[in-house]
Parts: sequence; C-alpha cells; structure tokens
Amino acid sequence: MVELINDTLVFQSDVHANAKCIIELQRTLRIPDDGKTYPLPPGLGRFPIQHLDAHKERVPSNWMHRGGVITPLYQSEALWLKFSSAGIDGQGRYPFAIKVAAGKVSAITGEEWKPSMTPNDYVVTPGQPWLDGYAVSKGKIRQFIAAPLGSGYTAEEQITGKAEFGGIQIEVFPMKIDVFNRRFPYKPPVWEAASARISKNGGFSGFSGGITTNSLKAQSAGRGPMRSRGSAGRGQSMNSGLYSPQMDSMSMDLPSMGLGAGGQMEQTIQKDPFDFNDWDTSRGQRVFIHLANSLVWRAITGQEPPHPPPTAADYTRQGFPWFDYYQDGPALDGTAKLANLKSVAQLDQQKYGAPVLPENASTHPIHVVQLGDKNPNKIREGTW
Amino acid sequence: MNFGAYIKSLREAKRAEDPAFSLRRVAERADIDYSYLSKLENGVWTEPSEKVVLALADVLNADPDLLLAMTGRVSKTFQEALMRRPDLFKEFLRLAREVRDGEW
Repeated sequence: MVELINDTLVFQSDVHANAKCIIELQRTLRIPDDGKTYPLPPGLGRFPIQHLDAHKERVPSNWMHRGGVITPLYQSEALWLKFSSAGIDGQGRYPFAIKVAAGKVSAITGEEWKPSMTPNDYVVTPGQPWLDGYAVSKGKIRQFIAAPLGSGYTAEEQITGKAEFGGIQIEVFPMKIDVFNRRFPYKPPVWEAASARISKNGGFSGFSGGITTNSLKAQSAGRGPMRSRGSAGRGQSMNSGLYSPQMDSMSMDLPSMGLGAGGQMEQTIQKDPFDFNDWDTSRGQRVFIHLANSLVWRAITGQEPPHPPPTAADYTRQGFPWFDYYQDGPALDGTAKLANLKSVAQLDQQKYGAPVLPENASTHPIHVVQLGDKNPNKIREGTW
Repeated sequence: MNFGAYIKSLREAKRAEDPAFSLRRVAERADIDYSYLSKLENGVWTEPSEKVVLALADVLNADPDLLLAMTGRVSKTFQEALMRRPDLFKEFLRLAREVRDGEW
C-alpha cells in the first residue's frame, strides 16, 4: 500500500511490518544550464503533495484515470527526490529498489517504462540518498526541471516523440524477506552502536545492525544528518525572478507538466550492491505524481503554491552552502539515450537562436559542504 | 483542502444553480457580515466560532461534523461515534492516506 503522510510518499510493503520506503519531493534551486558542472544544490523543504481523489470534480479525467497524487511546480522550477527506508530493529534499514521515470521514460536508462524491473534501471535505498535528474553519464546528471507537456522540452517528448504522460512515475520493490534475513541477520540492538552508525549518512554500513526504528524515523522525518543538505537555506526570504506569471498562464490549457533536462550536476548513481534476484519483483508498488503549474494547482486545490525558490545566483551571493556527496562503490555509466538529451537552454538556442530560460546566469559556488565518506567533520574510528 | 476553500467551493457550486447562494445572501442567512464570510472563504480568518460553523453548515446544507473537524474541532456526535467504534479509526486513517493507483 502507498500512503501519503505529511507530504511524503510511504510505500509500505507486506514483506514486513516495518518495511517502508519513504520518498519526498524536495524543492531546490535551478542550477544554471551553462555547460558547467555544478555541485549539489540544497533542499528547500518538501513540495506539498495532495491526493488526486480529493479533487475529483476539478481534475481532468485522464489524470483521474491514472490515479496518484498531485504537486505544484512553477514552470522551469527544479526538484529532487529524497529516498530513505525505515529500520527493522536489530537488522538495519530495509532495502528497496526504486524505479523513477518522468513521462514514463526512465531517469536512469532513458528507456520507456516497462512493468516490473530490469537490471540497472533502478536505484537502491539505503545507498542512493537522492536523485536530482537524468543520469546522463557516469557521475553526472542533468537536473529535472518542469516544462509544459507539448512544448518539446521534456525528456518524454525528445525520446518517445509523444507528449502523452508527463508527471513523475515511481515504482518501489522490496528485497525478498528471506534474502534480507540471510544478508542481515538479527543482532540485538545496542544504543551506542546505533548512534555511531546513524552518523554515516545512510551508507550501507548502517546495515550491520543496531539501528532502532525510532531513530530512523527521526532521520527520515528530517532531523538526522541526511537532512543537512535538505535544511540548508530554509526560511530565507530571497525573491526570485524565476517565476513569470505569463509563462504559467501560457501553459494553463495544457493537460500536464513534464520534466525537461536542466543544468549539469555532479551526482553518482550507485550500482545495485545486491543480486538482481534479491528483489521481490512480484511486490512492486507504484504511484503517478501529476505536476501542476501554479494556476492549475490553485484552480484544483484552492490553495497557494509555495513561494518560488531563490535563483542560484542569489543563493550563492548570500553565502549559503552547496553540497558534494561522495560515496565509494561502483557507479552506473549512464546511457546514450540520456546523454543525447538536449537541455532546455540548448533547445531554446535551437528554437529561438538565443537563450530564453530566465535567471540562468552562471554562478560560482564557493561554500561547498562535503557529505558522505569524504565529510571532513566525520570522526575517524580506529581499532579498539 | 482547508475550511475556507471548502465552504467557498460548496457555496459557488450552489450559486451556479441558485442565486440565493451569493456571498451576501449566504452571509445574511448565517447571520454574519459578508466581509467576514469573504475573509473566511479566502483564508484570511481561519478560526470561526462553533456557532458560525454550524450556521454555515445549515445554510449550505453541509455536514456540521465535517465542517467542525476542518476548523480543528471535534463534534460531540463524532466523539461519541469514535468511542463506540475506536477500531474504525485506524481504518479511516488508512483509507484517507492510501494513494490510489490507476492505469498508465
């Protein structure tokens, strides 16, 4: 069963009472689409998410047919997905494989959506803490940015030649319960061990036992160290020129928004550290996330969307941090299909002969906080 | 959906068929000022008194328990029902949170 709790999608698997995969949509800066490769931008809080069924009277019938949830994005706004999972006492966090697509095109492979899963078309949590865009090459992604479906900017349109689905699609598969019990046998919880391991930013080291359910709940709720990226810059009062009301009204009559490719960012997509057969492919749970521009969101929900995020240049000028996340382990290479995606700025250049994307000025992140295994604040543990 | 947006949507749906549901006329029948009703509908005021909520429920033919719950109050009727069937509460939360999957 997939539940919506406090703007968070919770995939509760029936393999175990605490086997829960938790996914959030994080608001963020749009990084400049200028040919440079940027570090990770911050998280500026969760996007609001609502049940589509709560607004039956106002939602187009093709959306209702697909079910799922709805979230607001301004045109050209960026987002990233945050993954985590709940812990099983004495065994660590339950592993899940997560497929992510936009417009039913895989963000990992560029292939069109297929039921179930195939090798290397998913990410694994714990291990992959977030996904900010399309995996274009090893260690690099192109940021997800919202674009009206039908404009030719989305990956869906570039790859399939059709503007049919838009939105974001997610399917989550749990590890087989017998494999989990074999790989992560029960060890009695020890509080000290749990505290130490939680500080490791959700790496695989957390698996070896000792993490309590409550402490992981706290972590997934945003109070743990993984959130250090998410909380940066929150509550600031910077205005942005990114949002243009004219742009939104232009797209008002369009059925949906999709995701195009924005600027380039350093982000590794970790290879599955387990065997493909470890996943319980018969227990996939999926959700369709419809993206509504601000006017459509207001019309459907009667509520205001969040304030537009600051521009990357404004954010950097204020001295707020960017992030770098390093983790050992093999990474996926990226595929030719996604490598060939044209970014929104490149398409603008092709169509209009000039950049049209607003607030796309280059910026130079100076304050970059290291997360993961290279985190300089991490305390080295010796042998004793 | 919040209280204001909900009563606005109810009132406007009724007004489309019957002009007696204009802002002024609904406010009159609920014995409140129309500017106050407008502020409630637009979320400027968010904590109407129980008396106002029940009057609006009556005029708009809405469920008073639901409207009270939307303003953060629990009606006696609801409380009694919950005490009689506490087992259903968890089921209600599950149903309210569950995301329906469709065809895509």
